[in-house]
Amino acid sequence: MQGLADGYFVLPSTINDYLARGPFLPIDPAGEAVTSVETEVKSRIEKLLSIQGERTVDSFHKELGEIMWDNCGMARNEQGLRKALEQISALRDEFWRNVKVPGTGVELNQSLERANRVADFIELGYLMCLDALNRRESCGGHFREESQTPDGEAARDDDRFSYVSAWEWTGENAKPVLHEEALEFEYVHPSQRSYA
Amino acid sequence: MNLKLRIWRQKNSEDRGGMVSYDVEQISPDMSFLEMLDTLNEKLTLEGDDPVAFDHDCREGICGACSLMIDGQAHGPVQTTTCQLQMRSFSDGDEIVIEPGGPVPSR
Repeated sequence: MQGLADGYFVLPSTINDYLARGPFLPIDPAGEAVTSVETEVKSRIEKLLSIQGERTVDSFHKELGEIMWDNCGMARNEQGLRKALEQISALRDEFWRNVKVPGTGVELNQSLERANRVADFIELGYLMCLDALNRRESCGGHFREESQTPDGEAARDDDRFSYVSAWEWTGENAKPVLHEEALEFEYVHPSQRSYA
Repeated sequence: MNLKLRIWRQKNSEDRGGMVSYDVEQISPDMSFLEMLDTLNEKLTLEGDDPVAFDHDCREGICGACSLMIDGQAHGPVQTTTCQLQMRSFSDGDEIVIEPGGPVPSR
């Protein structure tokens, strides 16, 4: 589980590695790239603090976790994934209407940090379900229940799904666009996993 | 179990800070110490109070992010990390003193 879920442990090392390649070109703090992101982040923080609804950030995080656990786990099927997409949509609407974030944006505020993160988790959870729905084959550690061999083993479908799914963000409330990056095996070719 | 907590609160570096008492109720002995604090924070948030800030990351005893001085001992009465400290190490009705962990700046 540790290796699967905790990117935190890897990320700090990759950032150090990147920074060690410096020095970098100076960045103009008044440049368009900086100011546009700053404006976006500020308005997002103001929005989160202004909602003052009735549910805590943690309660949304836990509800999202339960939806994902029930419907987008190691074994998943079309019916469950479609249900999860509806539930996450409804949860996202409620989050931006009814979350309660205490405190301000000018000093340490762990609830605000968490609210930003859970807002991202909601988007990411939605995308994971969308991606899982699209991939109608069992692949790697993930078992699509509709795609199994007669004796219940995971069945890949290389003719249709031998690609990496790269999803493009196209804006708020807009449908992500799928880019298929083909997997080409020149020397070693995939075969059915068998423990027999 | 029901507990009384005395926690060091300090809004920011200008605030002198001080100990504040809180009651937490219906704490399961199977909870971790941080889950007990989560329960307090949910209550404080819904009551319109500021939740207690504390560091944590993995909550499985690996990363070393959590700290806290619990009843005057770093990570509390059991030799483990705060996230791996279970509430069964305490008794119903206990008063627990919670302060920031880590080095204290000299003045």
